[in-house]
Amino acid sequence: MLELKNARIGYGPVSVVHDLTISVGASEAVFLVGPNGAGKSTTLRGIIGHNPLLGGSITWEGKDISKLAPHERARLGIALVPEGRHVFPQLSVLENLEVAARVGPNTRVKERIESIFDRFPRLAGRRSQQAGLLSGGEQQMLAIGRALVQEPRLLVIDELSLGLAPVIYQQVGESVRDLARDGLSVLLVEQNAVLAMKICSRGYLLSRGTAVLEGTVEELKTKSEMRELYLGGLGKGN
Amino acid sequence: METFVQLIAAGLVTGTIYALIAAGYAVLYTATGFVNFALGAQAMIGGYLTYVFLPELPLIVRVLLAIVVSILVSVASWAFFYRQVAEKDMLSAVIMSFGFSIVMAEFVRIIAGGIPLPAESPFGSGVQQIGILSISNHSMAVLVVGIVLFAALALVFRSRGGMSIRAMFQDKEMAETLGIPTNRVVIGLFALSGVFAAAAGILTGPILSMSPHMGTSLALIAFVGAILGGLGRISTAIIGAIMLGLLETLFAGYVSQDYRTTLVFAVFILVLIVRPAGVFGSKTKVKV
Ligand SMILES: Nc1ncnc2c1ncn2[C@@H]1O[C@H](COP(=O)(O)OP(=O)(O)OP(=O)(O)O)[C@@H](O)[C@H]1O
Ligand SMILES: [Mg+2]
Repeated sequence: MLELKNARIGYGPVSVVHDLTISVGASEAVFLVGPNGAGKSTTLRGIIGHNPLLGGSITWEGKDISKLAPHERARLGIALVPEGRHVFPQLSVLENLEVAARVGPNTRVKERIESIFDRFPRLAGRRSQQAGLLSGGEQQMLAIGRALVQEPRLLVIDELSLGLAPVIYQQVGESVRDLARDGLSVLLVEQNAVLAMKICSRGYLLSRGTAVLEGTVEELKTKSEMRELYLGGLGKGN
Repeated sequence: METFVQLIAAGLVTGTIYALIAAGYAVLYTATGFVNFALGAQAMIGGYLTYVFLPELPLIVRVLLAIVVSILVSVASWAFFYRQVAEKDMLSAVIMSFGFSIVMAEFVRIIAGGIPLPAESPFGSGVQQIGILSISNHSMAVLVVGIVLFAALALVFRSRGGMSIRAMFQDKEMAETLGIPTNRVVIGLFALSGVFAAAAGILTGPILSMSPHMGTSLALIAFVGAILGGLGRISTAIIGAIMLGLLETLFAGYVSQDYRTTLVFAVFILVLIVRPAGVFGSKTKVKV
């Protein structure tokens, strides 16, 4: 569904991601892990359209989307949970969801929003509160809810677990996995490799702007690079 | 008492005209971080189109033409000139808009000459007596048009589309990510600021009479007013501009007519030193 081939993405003339080839299939959940500064967020920004493609290609269902503006890509069904949450601080929780829900097909808006509140009851109790006054974890839930309310076909997440308590991120992780089983495609950037491997079936290890390892979760679990880099103490017992 | 009431009314009228330009500034500033000093010159051109250039056309046509030209100048100047510069260096774009306003003023001076020309109010020269207040039809019209336009602005921003605009003000990149065509919205806001500028020009003409550089001082005073209230929000920019109009008129009435312009800039310097975010502004709400 989404394919990057030999992609080069950067800031201005400086390229940060080089020669990156990754793909996400229909109803497939794929993760991207890698050390800080590897270029994970930059890759996602290139997919969303905030950073230009300096080389290679980005295609969506076989069509080149590298020239489309971010809002046009959004309308193809690509939704983002950005690094740092980026909720609209002076809009209420409800308005944050409504803005997102009304951009696409303006139908079943109430129903879609209520389904988000069912998924995140903490948000339901705070629907008229200003989003800027939510706790970090609640803002993360709102950022995820805001992406889901668009009923995307591909959900792109930059740091799912960031700021969430373990109980919550396990729960959110499970919802994402269920959504993927129901047909949503997911591209997940995640510090917590154990969590990423629970949600996704396939993944890439990024280092210095390029994929150095790729494979299914089973394959990757056997690689020493993954173990050393990520699983460490956390991985024992899994 | 009578003088006081008279001055308050005059101050509100002057303030409303400043506020039309200030609202234009704030609409653009909150969306783009850009201050369009050329709004004053657009007002001036709107005035010339209404009162000077085409006397043979019916009034309604001249007014509509003034509005349309102002919209076109607004949108085209952003799309073709300011945007590219603003992306690299906002300050250069702001200075560019000031330069553009001088170009427009000189252009009009070449066509129409530099001598101030009288403009006849479309509302006639009648004066109404309301209790102890006597107020001209034109002044009443300024207040009514101001209220209507500010109310319309409030409606736009409370509507569904307004919610996307507010979201865009708060986080443009995220709004774009959700699918809001932010560039198109900005173009729409430039068009809106063009309407406000034209209205200011049409309403100022009969009060100050028409001169090519009237827009330049209007632009500066409205900017001081917007800063006084806080440029980061449309409502505070409008209130600040009205306050400045009142202050200036009261000062001219009770203290000195000659120093009213000096007062405006004294206020400017004072605000920048004491409350750079405006009297009502909180620091966090103003993007610099
Ligand atoms: N706006 C920018 N301009 C120039 N370089 C940038 C910019 N943002 C990030 N970079 C550089 O790009 C590189 C990759 O950054 P990126 O944010 O993609 O890393 P990441 O893999 O997401 O890291 P993290 O795990 O810390 O989020 C870094 O070296 C960073 O310094
Ligand atoms: Mg990152």
